[in-house]
Amino acid sequence: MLVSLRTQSPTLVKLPSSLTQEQLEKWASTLLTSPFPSALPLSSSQLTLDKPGRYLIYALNSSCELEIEIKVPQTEVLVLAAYWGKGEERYSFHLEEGFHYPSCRSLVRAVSILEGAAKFSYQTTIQAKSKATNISAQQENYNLILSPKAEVETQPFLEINNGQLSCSHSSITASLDEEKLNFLLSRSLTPPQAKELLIKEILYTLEGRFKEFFGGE
Amino acid sequence: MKTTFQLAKGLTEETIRQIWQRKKEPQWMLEFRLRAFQIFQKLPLPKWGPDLSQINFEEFSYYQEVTESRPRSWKDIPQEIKATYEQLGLPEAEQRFLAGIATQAESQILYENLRRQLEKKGVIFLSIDEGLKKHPQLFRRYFASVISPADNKLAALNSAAWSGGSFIYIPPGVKISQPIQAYFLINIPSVGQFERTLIIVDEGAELNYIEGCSAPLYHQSSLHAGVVEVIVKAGAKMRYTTIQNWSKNVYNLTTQRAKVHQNATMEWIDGNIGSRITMKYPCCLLVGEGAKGYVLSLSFASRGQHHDTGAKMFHLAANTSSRVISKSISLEGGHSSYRGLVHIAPKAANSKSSVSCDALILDPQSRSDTYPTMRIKNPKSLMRHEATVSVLDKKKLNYLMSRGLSRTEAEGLLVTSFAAPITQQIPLEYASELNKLIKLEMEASVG
Repeated sequence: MLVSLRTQSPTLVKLPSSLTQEQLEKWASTLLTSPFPSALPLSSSQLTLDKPGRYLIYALNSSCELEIEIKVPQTEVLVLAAYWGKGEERYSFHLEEGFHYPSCRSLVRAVSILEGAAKFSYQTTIQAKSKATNISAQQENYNLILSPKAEVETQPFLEINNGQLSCSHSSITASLDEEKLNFLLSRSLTPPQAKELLIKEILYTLEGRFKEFFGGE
Repeated sequence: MKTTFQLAKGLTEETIRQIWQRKKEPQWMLEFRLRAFQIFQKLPLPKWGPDLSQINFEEFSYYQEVTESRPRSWKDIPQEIKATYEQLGLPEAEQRFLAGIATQAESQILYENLRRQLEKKGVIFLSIDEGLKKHPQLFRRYFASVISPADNKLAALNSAAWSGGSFIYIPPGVKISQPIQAYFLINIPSVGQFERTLIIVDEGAELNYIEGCSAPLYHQSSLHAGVVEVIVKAGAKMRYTTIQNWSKNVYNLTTQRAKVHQNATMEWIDGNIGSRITMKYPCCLLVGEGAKGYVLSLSFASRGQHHDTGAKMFHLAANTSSRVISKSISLEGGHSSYRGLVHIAPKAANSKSSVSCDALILDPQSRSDTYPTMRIKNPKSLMRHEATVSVLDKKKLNYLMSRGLSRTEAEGLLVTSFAAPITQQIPLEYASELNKLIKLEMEASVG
């Protein structure tokens, strides 16, 4: 039974230029369970990407304070983060992403599950400079609050300085979906089993996003 | 427009005493104004948002009067004011209808025919100065109950130097079917516009209020620091629509807030076309169970303009809901920013909030920012936010041009359809005026 999330401090992985379907599935399934072999822990809060390629940055149950400058065209960056806070735990995900050159793509997805009196702060800024045309930048944030004392603060910011790109962000904060919960209970799952399944649904969206982003789906 | 009385520039305690004396207000209002002035002197300007460093509060005159006597019919309206209605592009029939509204020009009310019709239903629709004099207890009970002078520097300035505005009270159960409208004009350079509006919609009542602002272009900067307070009592409904088209040297820094009680509904519809800088964040305090708040905001920023607009929703009771839809368009170097706050308090169980911000950037010189903040402190609530920034769809543009439209016409059509979710919510005559204004701005940008 899934009762917690492992801890992974912010880590950078450079992916091969192409992956077979099998490799994609294998990489995705590793995300939540064990570290990638070629992963590089990020020692600094500032990261400059100056070589084109495909990058994954991810963090699990580890607060993240990061400034990413994408200073080269033809670059793809996927940022994934998941937090499962219990008791009095405090987590924050603060990210600034700056695009300086054209033809880049980025997706940021951060999810949190908060129990007890846990708190989560999500703050991201996407900045697109004037030369950063043909950019596609998306941010997604999903927060599940499971107790009366848990709190979330989200600030997804955009600062767009040119007229040739597409950016979006979304943020949802909610409790367990009652309809889904009742459906699972009606299928003879116990409340803890139903809750675990719904939490897994949220966590495994990270795997889904990984496959979509790098698999071209 | 003939000015019959104007105070010297700058704001001092003596200026405030002169305003108080000129208006023949009660003693408590003088104490309120002086207290607010002290707060104004202590508070700083906000460090976030547009650059307000160019504002010199000593360069403005804080009170003036335009005519000595009140006109009794349309033919008595000064020709200059009629000419302003023409500039707004209003047809004659509408001008005559609008002549029934209370129009504020340089802090003085000129016309109030509609007021008399509404009085028969027990509705109070007065200038705020008259409201203070004729309904002192009702006025004092609600005045500054939603926005205190300490709220921010511009609210403190308004509280010290306020002049002109509307005072409206709708009795319980009274539903006003036609919109009540008012226009505010700035026609003199270096004039500050500090209208204060106070609206109380009592239990089960309904009101639709529209204000539009217009000003000719002057070289010296003008300041508009308005305050709008709305109280919507249990079961009542209120819609407050603003179409702002100040000339592009005006600083438009307005505080708008509504206190929404049990099962009541408040809608802010906010259209910002003009002004050099606008900072406006219509706010709903959802204090009663089942209260609902809506903000529909449209911003159009072209060369030299910075619109920093948005919405604030405070869910302070259970089963409250809010919806914010923001659309902004930036072109020719214009700068639009959405700045919003949704706060769901621990007691606000089963509350729902949804925010959508869409921004359209029409050229590489323009800019769009989005700064939403969501604070969720209740586990049984739902908060949803989404935002997009995009350019005009090239496929749609090419299609329209292939059907014989010029590029400007095609762009204008796509922009007005982008703004449609907002413009469809306002009365037709305002929607067509708004669409016309947008079209004129786009044609001007193409040259």
